[in-house]
Amino acid sequence: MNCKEIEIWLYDYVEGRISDSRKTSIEKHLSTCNDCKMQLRVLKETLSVIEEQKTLTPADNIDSYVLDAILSNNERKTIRLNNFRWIQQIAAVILIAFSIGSGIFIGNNLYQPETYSSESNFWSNELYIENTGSIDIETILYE
Amino acid sequence: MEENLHKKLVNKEPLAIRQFVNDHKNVVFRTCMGYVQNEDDANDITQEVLIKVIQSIHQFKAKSSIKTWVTRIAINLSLNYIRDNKKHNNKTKLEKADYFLSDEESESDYSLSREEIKKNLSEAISQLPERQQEAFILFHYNDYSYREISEITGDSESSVESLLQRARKNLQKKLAVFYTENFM
Repeated sequence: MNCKEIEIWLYDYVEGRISDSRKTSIEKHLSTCNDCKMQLRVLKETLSVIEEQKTLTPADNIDSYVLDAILSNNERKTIRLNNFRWIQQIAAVILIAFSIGSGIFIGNNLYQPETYSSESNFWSNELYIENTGSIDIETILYE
Repeated sequence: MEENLHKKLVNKEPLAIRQFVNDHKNVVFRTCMGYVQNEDDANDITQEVLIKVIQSIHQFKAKSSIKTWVTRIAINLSLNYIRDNKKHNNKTKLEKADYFLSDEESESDYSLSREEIKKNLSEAISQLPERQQEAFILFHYNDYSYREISEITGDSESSVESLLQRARKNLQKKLAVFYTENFM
């Protein structure tokens, strides 16, 4: 048996739907051909994936969602189940709104009219002179 | 379907709806899973199918079993979903696999990741001709007999058997192509 023939019969071989003589030929070929052996492994893995998928079940509360949709008479209203993308989107909107709000708040608090007292020595020359009148800046800085 | 339950569903009685959903959700889900190969999408379509079935229950004339009717709707909505979402479909070209060194088998230097297998299974099933795809999914995902498949599809049992054989051979060929492109 060659590789082309193996390709044809491999599925039946895995499922056990093959004659004994053909089975023997296939196994003889597989004992010497790594490529066909790999193909066999790929096929077995694929079938096991299908078996695994068959064990999956729908979302637990699907009956409630269906009931709500029917009773609200909105047949197009389906709610994404087991998918938290919509939660992430809402969270993103809240975060952006919070950031903008915080920015505005902080900006308002940072900006203050300049009301420095005469005791503060290290603010702008112009401002200090304005507040203290005749005291010059050099005297103030080096006190 | 018993007449009493049918009447309750037509009247949209909540308990009857819940019972119906719980009785049929697995069959619907597995059918959808076979087509879309993705849990989230399968859940979405399952919801749609069950809603549609219950809202159309007054049209059910019991010419076939309710399970046959529900499965038929699941197949149709799955195919619609795939067509409508073609760009979001999980179709990928057969790509080179991520190679993993095998620690277990001595006959080969390479092993396959489970994710690669799933991706290529999805691709292989989606490329099957529609009737072969139908027969394959109903048999392998729902464990339907040839007779049940024949009731759902309208094909004879011998046609179902033939479709299934061809589907398997085609699947095997597509998996071999994947292997050839990635390992040779």
